[in-house]
Amino acid sequence: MKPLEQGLSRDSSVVVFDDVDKRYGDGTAALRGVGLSLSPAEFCFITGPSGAGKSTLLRMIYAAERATAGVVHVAGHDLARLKPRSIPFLRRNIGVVFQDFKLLPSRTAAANVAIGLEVQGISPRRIRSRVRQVLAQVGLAGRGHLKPGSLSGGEQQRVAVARAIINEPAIVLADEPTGNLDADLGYEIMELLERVNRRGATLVVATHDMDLVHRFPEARHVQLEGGRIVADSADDEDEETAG
Amino acid sequence: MSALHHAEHAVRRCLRNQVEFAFPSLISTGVVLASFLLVGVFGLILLNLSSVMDRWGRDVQVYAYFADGVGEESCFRVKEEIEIHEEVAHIHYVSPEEALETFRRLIPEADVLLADLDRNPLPASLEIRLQSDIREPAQVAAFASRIDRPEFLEIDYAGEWVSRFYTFLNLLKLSAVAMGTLLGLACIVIVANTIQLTIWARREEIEVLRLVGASNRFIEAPFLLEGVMQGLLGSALSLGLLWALYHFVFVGMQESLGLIAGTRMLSFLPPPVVALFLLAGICLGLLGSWLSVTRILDRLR
Repeated sequence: MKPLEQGLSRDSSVVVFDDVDKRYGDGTAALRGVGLSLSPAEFCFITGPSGAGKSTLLRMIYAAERATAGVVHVAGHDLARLKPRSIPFLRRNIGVVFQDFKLLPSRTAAANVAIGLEVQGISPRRIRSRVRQVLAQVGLAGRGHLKPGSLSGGEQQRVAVARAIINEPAIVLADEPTGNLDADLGYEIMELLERVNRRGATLVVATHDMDLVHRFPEARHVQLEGGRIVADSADDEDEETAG
Repeated sequence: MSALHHAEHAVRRCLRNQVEFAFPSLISTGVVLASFLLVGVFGLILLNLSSVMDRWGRDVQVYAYFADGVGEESCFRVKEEIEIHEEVAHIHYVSPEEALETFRRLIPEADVLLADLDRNPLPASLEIRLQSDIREPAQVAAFASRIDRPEFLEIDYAGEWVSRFYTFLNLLKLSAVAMGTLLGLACIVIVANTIQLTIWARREEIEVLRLVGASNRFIEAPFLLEGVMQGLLGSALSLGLLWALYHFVFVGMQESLGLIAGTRMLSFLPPPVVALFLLAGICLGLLGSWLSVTRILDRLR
């Protein structure tokens, strides 16, 4: 697996979707002719109603789904040609946050965060030090010994964010990260993710919460409907520049 | 160092699985234990019966009884003729008087019966001990027919009895192999199901591990290790129980068995067989867990 910097495509896009279709076995089309290019350190919202294809698009970026047609490049790698044994190495460059947190209830918050480093065979001493650092970064200093069941929803999502960024990934994907939280807590999580983005990670957030999108007007906004991109704020900006 | 930390994580996760899924793990280890114990008991019996047969085989004797009226001179001539056969280790001429003496010594109560007889009813005979490599019933029978001549009334050897015992022993060996195979398969199935249960219960963890970039080997290692542990633990405990059984039951039976079998010592499984037992436990556990891991993890992918 090439390091991410070496894997960037010619136009320096971290993620490129070129006329991508995704159909499932029953014939359902989740994505149709999607073309999308994300630059390093870009912050992008993917919005749309349920079933629009937001989650599928994210799942394709971290190679959990393969395109039926078209080409998906992530960090310069054509995912259709990526060998299954290389997928784990790609995923170490991608942090993912889910609506349901996906934390392991039997493990403490610190142990949940540590997983990302354990899989790389990093020494326990280095893992402990890095986990402490990241928990502090997400505002959970001193809470690492608690299990998810003893944490609030907002805190659990912070643990999930900490787990996603412990590897300092180049790409952070968040699938409805505020879906299980009230508006204020949701905003706090988004601010946390925005800080991660400001540190250089490309951030892609799938949400159907338009209020949340309006609170981050600088972010790019791609709208999906029925598996197609129906609007992209980047295109609007291009047109304004050209006009 | 990275491989060392991977191994450390695998051992830790395997032990955690054993603790969190203690009951299925115990059942699985118990089945391996019971199966290996059964095969072990069978093996121990077979091993000792085989060694008894070996000892008997070492002392195969043929008795040739002279017909009435064959003079002592003829008897010695026949003895000399037989002595030159390469199968013969030792030959001894037993006169009718010596035979009667031995009979009286062995059965003193027969004295009354013998007193009524006006002559010695026992014939002269030759006691022939064969070379140690002549053990098979067919070889003994061939030798007996080769030395047969008109001077003999009857040639006796433990042929048919030994032959039946050999057949019984071979049948026992076949049963042991069949039982071992069946129980081995049962062990594989049980271990596979236990590991499958653990994997299903850990599917959320596996999903998270995949998400953060765990390789397949990292995910599989603790489950494979778990199978190996269950197999090794089951076979080692069965050896311990077998040893206890041997010590308290078999050795206790030694005296009476020794009388029947003409052997003084029953033996435990030799070290190579013990090592094979442990290796078989490891292999069965590994095979069971590998079958589960490859099948279920593929489905969870």
